[in-house]
Amino acid sequence: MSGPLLELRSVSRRFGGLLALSEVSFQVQAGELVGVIGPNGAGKSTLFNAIVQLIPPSSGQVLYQGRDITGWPVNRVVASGITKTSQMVQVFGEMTVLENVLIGALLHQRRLDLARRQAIEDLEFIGLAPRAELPARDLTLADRARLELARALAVRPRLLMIDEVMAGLTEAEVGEMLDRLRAMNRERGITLLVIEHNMRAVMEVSQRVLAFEQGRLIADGDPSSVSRDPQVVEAYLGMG
Amino acid sequence: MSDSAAPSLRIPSRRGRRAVEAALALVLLGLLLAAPFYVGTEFALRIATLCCLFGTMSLGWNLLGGYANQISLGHAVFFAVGAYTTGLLEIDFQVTPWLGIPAGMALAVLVGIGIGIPTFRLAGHYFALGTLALLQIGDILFTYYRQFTGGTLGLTLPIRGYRPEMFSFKYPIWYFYIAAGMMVGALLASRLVLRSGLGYRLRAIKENPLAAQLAGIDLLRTKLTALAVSAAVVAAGGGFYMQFIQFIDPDSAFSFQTSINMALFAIIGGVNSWWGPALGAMLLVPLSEYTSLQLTGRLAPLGPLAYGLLLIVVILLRPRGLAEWLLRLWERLWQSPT
Amino acid sequence: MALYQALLNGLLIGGVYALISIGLTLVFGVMDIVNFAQGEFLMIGMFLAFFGHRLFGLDPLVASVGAGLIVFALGVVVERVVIDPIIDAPPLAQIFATVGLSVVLSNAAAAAFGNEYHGVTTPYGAVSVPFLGAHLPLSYLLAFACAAVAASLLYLFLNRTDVGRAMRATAQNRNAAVLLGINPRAMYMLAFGLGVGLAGFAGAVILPYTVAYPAIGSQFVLIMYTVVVLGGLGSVRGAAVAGLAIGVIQSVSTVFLATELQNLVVFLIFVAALILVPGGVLKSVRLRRA
Repeated sequence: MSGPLLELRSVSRRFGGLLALSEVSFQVQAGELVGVIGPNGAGKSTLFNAIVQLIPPSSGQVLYQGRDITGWPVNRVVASGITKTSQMVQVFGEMTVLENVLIGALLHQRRLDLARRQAIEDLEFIGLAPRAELPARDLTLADRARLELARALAVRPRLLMIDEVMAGLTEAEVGEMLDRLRAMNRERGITLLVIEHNMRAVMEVSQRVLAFEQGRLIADGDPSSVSRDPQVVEAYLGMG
Repeated sequence: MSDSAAPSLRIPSRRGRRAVEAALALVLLGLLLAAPFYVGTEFALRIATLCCLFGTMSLGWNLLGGYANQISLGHAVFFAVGAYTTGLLEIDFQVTPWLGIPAGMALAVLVGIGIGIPTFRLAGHYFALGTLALLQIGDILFTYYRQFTGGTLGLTLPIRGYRPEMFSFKYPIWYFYIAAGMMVGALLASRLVLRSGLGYRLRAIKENPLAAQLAGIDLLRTKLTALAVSAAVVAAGGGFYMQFIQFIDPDSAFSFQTSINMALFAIIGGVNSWWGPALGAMLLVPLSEYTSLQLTGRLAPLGPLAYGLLLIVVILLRPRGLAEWLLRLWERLWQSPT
Repeated sequence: MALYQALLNGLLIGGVYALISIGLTLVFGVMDIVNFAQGEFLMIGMFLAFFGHRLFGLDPLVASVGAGLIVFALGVVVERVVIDPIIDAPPLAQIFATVGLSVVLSNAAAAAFGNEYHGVTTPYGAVSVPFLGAHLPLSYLLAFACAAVAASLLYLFLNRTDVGRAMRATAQNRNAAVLLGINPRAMYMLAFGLGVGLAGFAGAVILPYTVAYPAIGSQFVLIMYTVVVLGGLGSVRGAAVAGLAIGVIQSVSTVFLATELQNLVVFLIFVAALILVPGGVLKSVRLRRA
């Protein structure tokens, strides 16, 4: 595989009169860990939804491993190796924590006992194993976000898009989460796209940062150059 | 550290629940198989047989309606397909019901997929409305094309003598054991599905379709699979009904009441449980047969009236049904000494 | 000629279908609940008009206002007791709460009044009015007029009064409505009462040309849903137009097909509408024009 893992070609998404994504183009190489920043309403979550085809682009193409996946059903995109976690955390509240992750593991492991073993490993990795038998609805919001991450991990993605998993975490927990992201990226070889409002965390962990404002990609580069980019500075100061 | 202690308390309770479930299932099964010994009259045996028949169909409905919350209001369509296929094959082509019933099940699967593909893409209400429409369409067509179906006169099986190879038995007890076997089969299928990948996928779809898609679940395919199994189970019930009652007409085949009863037994028994629907049928079918015997003429509507009320009360007060309530009760008794 | 007559008859019947369906679609639009008991509230309206006629000698058209109000009040109570607790429940509970309600109401009526047909004789029951070469039964014409008046009043209520606007706001976005100081639970109660009250009113105005019996609700059930789905679930204007259309289709199809098959055409349209244009035929036409 020589080309990029993911490529967006002038992807736009319109909601009525609002242009949530405007002509967004970029490439992601396999193995990258990319931060996605921007003020609220910049289109970051819409970007993830457009890539995974939950909200298909109004125009433009999404290419994954060179194949045009625009308009594919979500489950087919997921089965081919892309998934995401959600800003509005999506878990199965009535199921136990373990069952939540098991659902993900069942995608590529049809045998229930093996899938369960894999789910336990993923829970241990994410630090939720002690709560495995609790119903997901009893978790704190921060733990539910971690649970969604564990489930996403369980589908064995090549490209994982994480939408704000650090909200509500303590300083120490943010550190642990950053270690986990690095471990996913380096040890498991998962390409990561990470939306994060914790600017220090995202700058610390990312090899490359994409900055968005009002649906447009305004900067793309290494963390230090993006943070000095005048447009990015303007966008953040402008939001005040 | 109260939360890290919680799971260690829950694990034995889960295992206990499995044991309780198995024990309850065995007791139920024992009661069932011993039925001829305490069921004295032919009338009582008939009720026991109907219990098993409706238990089977309710379990079938629940595979889709309960596990995945895809509500069908027209499941009697599959019952009708099973009954008419078996009856017509026997009357017109002398095909033994032992082949006719599987044929009806296969046809019901096809019909199910035909209605499922267009309506499953839509929100919950539409599938319910679509199956309801299918029921009415079936009723009209089967009434109108009387040259094939007998129209409102219905189908009556010919007198065949007692020939087991044609599903015709001398002793009613055989019908009972076949119905009981059918229900045990439906129970096993119900349990197998619940504890399999399919069961987890259905629960995922029921709880959060968005999250299910992000976990790579093919919503349409999963629902269709459940619908196929569900339709086949209900059609088996229809085929058996044709042989047991030896008569079917459009009104009793495409009956809204039958459709609702399948759901009613499941809801009252407990839709999240693999045995709840059977429990619901065991409780309500005898009650219904008994009341319909007692309440005649002007009082006849009081029976259905009571079921309607029961349905509303259970939904408002015990939405998880009797099965869950029984398990909780049992667990409390079982755990209190330790 | 028969076709022309059938067309006019269909329009007149369609007006009543429209009114019943508007009630159904209003409840769906505001509360996101499909009321499977709507036909039973129609049946109650019919019986109220029947007893108004028998006990007090009231003409059903006169009694219709009272019948509508009584059914409205009944609807408000039912909403509070049965619907309110399940408003955010999963589809299973929502669907079977109203299905249970329909079973209870129809069987309660059967227990109270028996399964016999209950009809009334009115001075205009057998009168026909000549109209551009056709003959319009006066009872159909009057029922249509009553339905048109009721639908117009509802339209004015929804568009010209503060309460009506608040109800539409609730239908569009419950959370935003709450922020505007609207009490959604009060809106639900009012919407459900209005929705079933319209059905009760419609039941009374059709009594002169039909008969009341406990199971009559089920005769109307699928026709109502066809109208509502065709018009777009939740769209009042869509239901009005689709109601007229279904009346015409049903009536005209009897010219070409056996009477037993007249509803088949309606149901096939229903299934086609479900499959092809789940947002409602009228809505998709409008979108395409826009």
